[in-house]
Amino acid sequence: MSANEPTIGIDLGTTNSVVATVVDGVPTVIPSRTGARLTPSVVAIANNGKRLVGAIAKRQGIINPEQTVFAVKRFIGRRFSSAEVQAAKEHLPYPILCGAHDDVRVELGGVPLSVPEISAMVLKELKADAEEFLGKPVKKAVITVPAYFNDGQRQATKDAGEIAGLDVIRIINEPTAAALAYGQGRTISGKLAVFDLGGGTFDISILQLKKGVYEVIATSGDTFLGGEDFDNRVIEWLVFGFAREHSADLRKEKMALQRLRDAAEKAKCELSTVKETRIDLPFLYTLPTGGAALHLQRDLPRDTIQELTADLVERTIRTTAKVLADANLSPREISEVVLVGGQTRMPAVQEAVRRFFGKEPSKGVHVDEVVALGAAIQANALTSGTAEVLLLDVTPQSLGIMVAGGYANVIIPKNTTIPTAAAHRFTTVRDNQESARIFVLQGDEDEASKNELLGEFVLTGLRKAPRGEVEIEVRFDISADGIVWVSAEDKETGLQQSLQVEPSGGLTREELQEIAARHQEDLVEARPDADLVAKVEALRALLAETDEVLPQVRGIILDSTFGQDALAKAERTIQRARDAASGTDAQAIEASGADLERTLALFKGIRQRVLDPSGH
Amino acid sequence: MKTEPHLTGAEEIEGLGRRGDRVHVTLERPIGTYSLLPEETLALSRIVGEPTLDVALRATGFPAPKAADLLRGLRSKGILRIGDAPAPRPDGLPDDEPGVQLSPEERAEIRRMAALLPTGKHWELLGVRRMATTAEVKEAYFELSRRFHPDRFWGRELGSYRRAIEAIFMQLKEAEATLSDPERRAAYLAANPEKRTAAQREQDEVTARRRAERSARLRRTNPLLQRAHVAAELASQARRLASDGKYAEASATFAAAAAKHGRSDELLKAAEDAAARARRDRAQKALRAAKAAQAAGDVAAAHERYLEAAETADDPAISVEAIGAFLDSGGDPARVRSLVSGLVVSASSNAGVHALHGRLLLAAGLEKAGQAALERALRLDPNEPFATSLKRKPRWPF
Repeated sequence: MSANEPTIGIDLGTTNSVVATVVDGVPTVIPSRTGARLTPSVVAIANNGKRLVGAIAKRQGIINPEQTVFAVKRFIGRRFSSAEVQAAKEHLPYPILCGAHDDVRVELGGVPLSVPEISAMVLKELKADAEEFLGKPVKKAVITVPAYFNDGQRQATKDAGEIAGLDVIRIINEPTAAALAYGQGRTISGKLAVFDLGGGTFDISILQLKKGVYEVIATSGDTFLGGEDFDNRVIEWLVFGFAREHSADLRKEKMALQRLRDAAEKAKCELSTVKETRIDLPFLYTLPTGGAALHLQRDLPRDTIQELTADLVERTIRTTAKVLADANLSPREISEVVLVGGQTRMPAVQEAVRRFFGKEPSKGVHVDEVVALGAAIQANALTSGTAEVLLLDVTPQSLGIMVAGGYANVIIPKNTTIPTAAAHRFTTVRDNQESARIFVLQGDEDEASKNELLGEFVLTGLRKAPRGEVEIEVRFDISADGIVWVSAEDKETGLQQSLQVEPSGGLTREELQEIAARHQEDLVEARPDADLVAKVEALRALLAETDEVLPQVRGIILDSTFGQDALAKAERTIQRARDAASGTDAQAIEASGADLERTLALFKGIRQRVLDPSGH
Repeated sequence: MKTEPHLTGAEEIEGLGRRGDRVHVTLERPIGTYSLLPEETLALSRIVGEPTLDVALRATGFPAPKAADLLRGLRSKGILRIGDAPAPRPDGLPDDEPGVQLSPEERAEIRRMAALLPTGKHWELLGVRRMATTAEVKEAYFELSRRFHPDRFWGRELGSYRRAIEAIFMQLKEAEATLSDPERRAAYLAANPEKRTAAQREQDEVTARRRAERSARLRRTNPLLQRAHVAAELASQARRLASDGKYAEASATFAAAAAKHGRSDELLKAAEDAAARARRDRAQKALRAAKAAQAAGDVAAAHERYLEAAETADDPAISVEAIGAFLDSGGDPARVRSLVSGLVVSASSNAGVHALHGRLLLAAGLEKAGQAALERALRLDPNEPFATSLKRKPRWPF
């Protein structure tokens, strides 16, 4: 335990990410080096080949749509062939490919990158922000994920953290984190509902609070329902309107689509406070047949956006009703409702929540920051060992194994408090069956194939006996940090086989190690101080130019009076600059840069006189 | 044949040891991890704390050969040791494990809880009364979770204590879940009756006697309490009557108790329920009597009893059966007309009622209305026997 080693909490969001820490017992959002509290979860390779992360990447998205990657959280830990990925692919301006293990790869700068690698770029940025803020290296972090993320998605998120050079001490659920932050400094006793509608996911959790203990009673959600879906409804509305008017499909035009996306998001946000807004996109599209560029101009009243998205809001309420039913609670038994996620700013969402619970949702928290603050509180609670806060979390989805007939047999039901352990006895299905294959499943579907396969192993050497006679006990153990152990034992012989469930989220262990190693070099290269990096870049550019000019003028200088001295002096300046460029001393870089600039100017003057004698 | 250890009087008990040998229960892990037979678990729970082999065998509650078998099984699974060697710590947690980052106080606390796991009762583990409210159970669970949840020891080297801590927390959760759910709690309490020592039992008797004396004294001095006492007596008498099947008397007694008590909705409802049961009993009895009379050839008497059954029954099915039998045996439809019309209103969802109604209407020559009633009966129940028997006859329009 090291009380003074700093810990951070990271809300790795679909659209925006936030990093926070606990300073003197107070959870605090860490601003980025440019002073922003939210970092857009956007990564881009700019036209000049530079890698950009965050706001700067988002800003240039319009002019560089194919090399600007956003909302990758929707793909993390998912199979490329899954219906969700195939559906989402339609709306993307950037190309995604299928990886070797049916995982999703994003082609960026000509390289197919795994989703954890992309997420790691954002995490690395946040880590650098935190190190700048705290003035020391940061390793230990708690990262949040939507409550309904399965084990694969959680593992992939953890992988992203590792690639970014973080020690991910715990993955916690976003709504739970929000509850931790909401409860901070308040004395709440009772049942709390956290309604979290973020950029890409919807989560609902019910917690019981008492004296600093936060017990999750039930949790559920929808990993493909969020603010982006609301944006897409507006985009579709604009696209269809435009198609009716001009018979042109804007979706085929990447740059137009990106502008539409930005305009739709902006309009949606505005409509949370005003009744009507205007979407104005001049010179949006030129017909293939030529002619003047077409403009898009439409008024979007609040009523229309509510109509367009009414079914999405309805879906959140349906999920909410289901989770309450799971917990055997009625909406009236909930004493407080907390809204989290930017999309809950929408008046229609607030109204639906108000109507369902029959009470005013709490507004005391910052919907964008509360999750990161909660993650920071949990990181601090774990490492300090003395904190006032204890989180009793649950398994969000059922765990079980596949049984004959292709059915899933649940061993640990969802919403079970962890750590937990449970065992069921199974038996052989064939006479003289010598081995049993155990498929470990996660999910709530009866059909095994509709659930997530977490892993498999074989128990061999069973005693030969008629079917149904050999008893096999399958035991699940889940530790407090969510690691699942599965073991199978032949009760008669004591023969045992076990597996630590460690799905790779699409990456194999070796791949992950290789990526981590590759990025380890990056880590050394990428200085936390972007300013310094820029100066070094400038100095290197100067050196390159000097190297080009020097041979051209060398002869002339040597021929002139005092030429020998002058050249030696110039070469010393160049050498100093070269040393500074490979170091990290900001002052040396700046000073040698100035010197080199003067020298180069001198060289250029000489070359000018030689190459263009008419100047005389 | 096996010997009967504690009956034969032999000093040596086959394969176990000597009668006077000390018995040690040496659980090293949570009991769930030992894969015990149900009987073994039961026997184990009974012999904990018993000093010698002789006493332990009897304490199992199983007949002698079986008891010895069970003890042998437990010993082979490493839970039981028989002999004079000092017992290791019941929790199996070493004091001096190297590298474990726990303070002596923390170790002691964990060991104390771990020792409760194998045989401890849920309420003992939570440190609450047996009859604690759900709120008290929750409170205790939260408080103990703050101390024993594995997250509290995050990042520390725990050695063999790690499993113990996890087991403690899981058992706390199990205890809380069981005691918070009324159904599970009732089942658990029934399965774990309170064991009281002789001294405690004596104390209980003294307390009960004192309580009775005190309430008797109060009754003498306070008229309100006296009335309440009388009401309680009447109510318990009524309950006895009801359980004996004397519903009519029970109903009257409940009503009397309610009057004494001064408007108790609960008692009034009990009176009503008992009255309803009484009516149902009477109707069923009348129906049986009517069938007997009909079988004996006394049609007139049968008719009267059928009518009595139909009138007293609170269940339309009984009324329908009685009236149907009444008509089948040649009873006069006019006598049941008002009864049936009443049923049509009060039990409009019963198919049999409508079939009867149709039957009466047809008998009165009202063909159309009669068919309509039969159709209604068939809509409610396509298999209504009387309506089907009439409707099944195909009638061709040509």
